[in-house]
Amino acid sequence: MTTENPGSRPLNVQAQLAKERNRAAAERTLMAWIRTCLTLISFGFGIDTIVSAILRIEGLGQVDPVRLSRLLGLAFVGLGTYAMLSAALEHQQELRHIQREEEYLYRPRPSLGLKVAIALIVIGVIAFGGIAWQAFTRLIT
Amino acid sequence: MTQDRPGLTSSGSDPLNSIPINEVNELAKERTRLAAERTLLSWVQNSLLLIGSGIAIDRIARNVSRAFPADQAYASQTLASGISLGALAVGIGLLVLAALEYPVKLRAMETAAAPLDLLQVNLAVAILAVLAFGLLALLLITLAPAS
Repeated sequence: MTTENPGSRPLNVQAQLAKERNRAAAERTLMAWIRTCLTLISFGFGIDTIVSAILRIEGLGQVDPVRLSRLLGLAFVGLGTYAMLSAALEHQQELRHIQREEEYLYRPRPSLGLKVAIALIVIGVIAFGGIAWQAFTRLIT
Repeated sequence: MTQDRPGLTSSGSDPLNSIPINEVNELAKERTRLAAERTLLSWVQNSLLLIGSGIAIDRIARNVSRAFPADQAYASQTLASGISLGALAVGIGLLVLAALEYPVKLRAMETAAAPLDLLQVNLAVAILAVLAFGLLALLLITLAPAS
């Protein structure tokens, strides 16, 4: 179905409604990114803060500044910040793409979700290795 | 109307380039991609909860047992490490499955082929993992000394 659009090509109502659905879908995706990044940053900050607080209560004097919990916390916070910035940029680009005058064309492109998933797998494997190594050395001593 | 699609080869044998472009279909493809990304993000959130909890349980238990040494500190620390390693393994496993499934689905959508459904396997693993985690927690709480 098409209607008159003054000064431009005929307006396709179905395409316009589909664009509105895409805009809403892009917004839901951005909100999913916000939730994921908030969880990443909160976990990173939380783990380091709680471990630091316990070490302070412990009062053993010298505290290792480059401990596993701090490295993992920093990795979580870094990944969360990077993902949030990239997701916001991608959302802005998608909105511009939708709002353009010419006909919409789907663009295959690298996925941010996949990059974050792979980074999280790497962080998880490092954490697994670190915890397993410490448990193993505790068992043999 | 036909156009060359950015990011895909423009050879004549490519089935995508032989299909006339329909703007509504193109927009639907983008929505499908966004929906697939949200599904992947849901798996990332679930795995993040498992991986983050795994790290937190071990680190907190380790430092608490150092701060407040007790007779059973060694046993509880080993138990905490075991639970942490289990949660980490399940989290990593689920994330690997989700990361393998996502490009397959995306490629199937882009080339208009039937997608391979790995999601059922993923869901079954997740449900079994949560059930096992719950049963273990119930057992530990029941068997824990009263003091």
